[in-house]
Amino acid sequence: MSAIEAHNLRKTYRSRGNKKVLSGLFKPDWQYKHAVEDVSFTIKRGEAVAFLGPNGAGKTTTTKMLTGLIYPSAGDLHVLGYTPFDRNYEFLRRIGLVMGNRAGLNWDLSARQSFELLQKIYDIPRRVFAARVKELTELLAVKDMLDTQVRRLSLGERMKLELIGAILHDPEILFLDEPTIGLDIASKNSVREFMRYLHKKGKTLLLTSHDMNDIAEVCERVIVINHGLIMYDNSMQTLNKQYADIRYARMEFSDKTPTREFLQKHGKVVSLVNNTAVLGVNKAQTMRVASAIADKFPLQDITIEQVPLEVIISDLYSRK
Amino acid sequence: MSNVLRGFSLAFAAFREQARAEKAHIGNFWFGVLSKLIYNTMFLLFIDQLYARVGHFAGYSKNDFLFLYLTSQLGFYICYYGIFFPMQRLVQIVRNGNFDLLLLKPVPHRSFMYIQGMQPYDLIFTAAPSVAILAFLINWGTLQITLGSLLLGLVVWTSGIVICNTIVFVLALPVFKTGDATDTLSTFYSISSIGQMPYSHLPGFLKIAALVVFPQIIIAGAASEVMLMKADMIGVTTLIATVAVVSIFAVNLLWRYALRNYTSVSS
Repeated sequence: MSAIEAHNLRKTYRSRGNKKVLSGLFKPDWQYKHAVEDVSFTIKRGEAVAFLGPNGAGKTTTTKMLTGLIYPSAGDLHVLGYTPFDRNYEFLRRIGLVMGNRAGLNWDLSARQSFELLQKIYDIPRRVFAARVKELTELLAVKDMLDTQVRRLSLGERMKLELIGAILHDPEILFLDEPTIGLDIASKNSVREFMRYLHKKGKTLLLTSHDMNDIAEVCERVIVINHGLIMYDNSMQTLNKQYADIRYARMEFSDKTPTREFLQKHGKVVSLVNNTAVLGVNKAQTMRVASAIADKFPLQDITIEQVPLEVIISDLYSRK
Repeated sequence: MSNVLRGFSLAFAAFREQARAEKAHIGNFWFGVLSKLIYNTMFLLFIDQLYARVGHFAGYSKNDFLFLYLTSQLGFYICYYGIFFPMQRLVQIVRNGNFDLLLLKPVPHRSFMYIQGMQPYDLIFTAAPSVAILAFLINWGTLQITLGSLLLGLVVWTSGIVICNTIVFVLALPVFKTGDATDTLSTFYSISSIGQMPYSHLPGFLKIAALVVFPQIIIAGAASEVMLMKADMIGVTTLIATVAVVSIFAVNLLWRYALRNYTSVSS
């Protein structure tokens, strides 16, 4: 059964082209910009999907249409069988949204006090509420911070508590927009682990992030959007397979460093900085290429790695 | 019935959260109370000095004027804490994107926004001393008030609040389109002092303007005049109540328009 069905979604913004104060009133010269041009996809219940795209690609606009925050200009949209922008209470009880750069908790109060208001808003029975707060704060290791004024918490602690606030009502679908932005490595790992835990519990996740580790560790499917259009929609496995035959050879030269022209004869030069070069080569030829280069330019160190997800996604972004 | 109970329970929870937030900065809070108390004391001293020199002012005795000031103060606190503050917060949350989080909650969004924006603790502690002092200074027995004039006056006062809400909302509305309404909204605060002007002594154009620009005149001047039977009670009440009813429809339409055009700030 599908959790989200979007067909030919479009969002167009109108702005005044004529910026002059007086003549602009009479001849506004309206300009139309499609933030989302034609987006269609279906997400099954329980899927964890990465929703990616460069800045200004239309992913946040799409997420906002999916959550009912803004009206689409055209297209059909159903989330859990509801039309999101009707803002039906039952629908709102079944979705959750976490935005890395928004504060849902009251800064002047403790997280527990903000949670108490959420308990009333979502009609969560007292016992269930207490059990859920206990479980979630233990999982994210923020139990001791529950009674601290939110403004006194670190960014990581606050983000974890924001996450708890967003899922306290046990939503079926969770929209996550940059949930690890600005966090340190330990906090990122802990938030990722938590997202995996939610996924295992059968929640549908739609994750937007520029941190590819979030995507790699949590999602099983990737949707890439650019210029308001879907550029790619397939499983993470399929995406990785497309680059399975390519390896990145990171070579650190001990004495002389070869020129870019020399390296280009052996593969695709990804980078060449100081005495280190990264060369994209065919998997089967990696050792042969490395030894051919090392013959002329002695190596201090060499690492062979898979194509990083950032590069794969960036390749997708650049497709027309 | 369960919906009504849920509504009350929700409103209470939101009020409690607000009150807790106000108490989080208790020093700031008490200075706020003190500054408003000082303002009122100064104004009362001014009235005392004024009436020591003139027996009547614009047809108002000192006692009538104190009553006008009491009506004005009650209206001011309701407008300021119950309408202006929530709208100020609305502008703020639309600007910083937190309005998104409100729209995602299964609550009546507009009512919830008002409740969350009010400062109940501050309202009670600031209004109570000023209102109590004023009520104590008024000689209630000499006021020309009947049950009928009181009821009609209350209709005018309530209508004034309703019109005030519409005007403040209209001033806040540009935030949905242009992304800011901070200064537009502050014009409301700067014209609040006009409320203490006697309604029937205003020029005609100001009486009309009161319906669409200066609702404070209705809340204070017009309401107290109707209560004290200094004006055409039926005529004034009918006109103002009609405008209030129309403004209720207007504000509902505008709210829908605002949500329809809400673009939500980029993240």
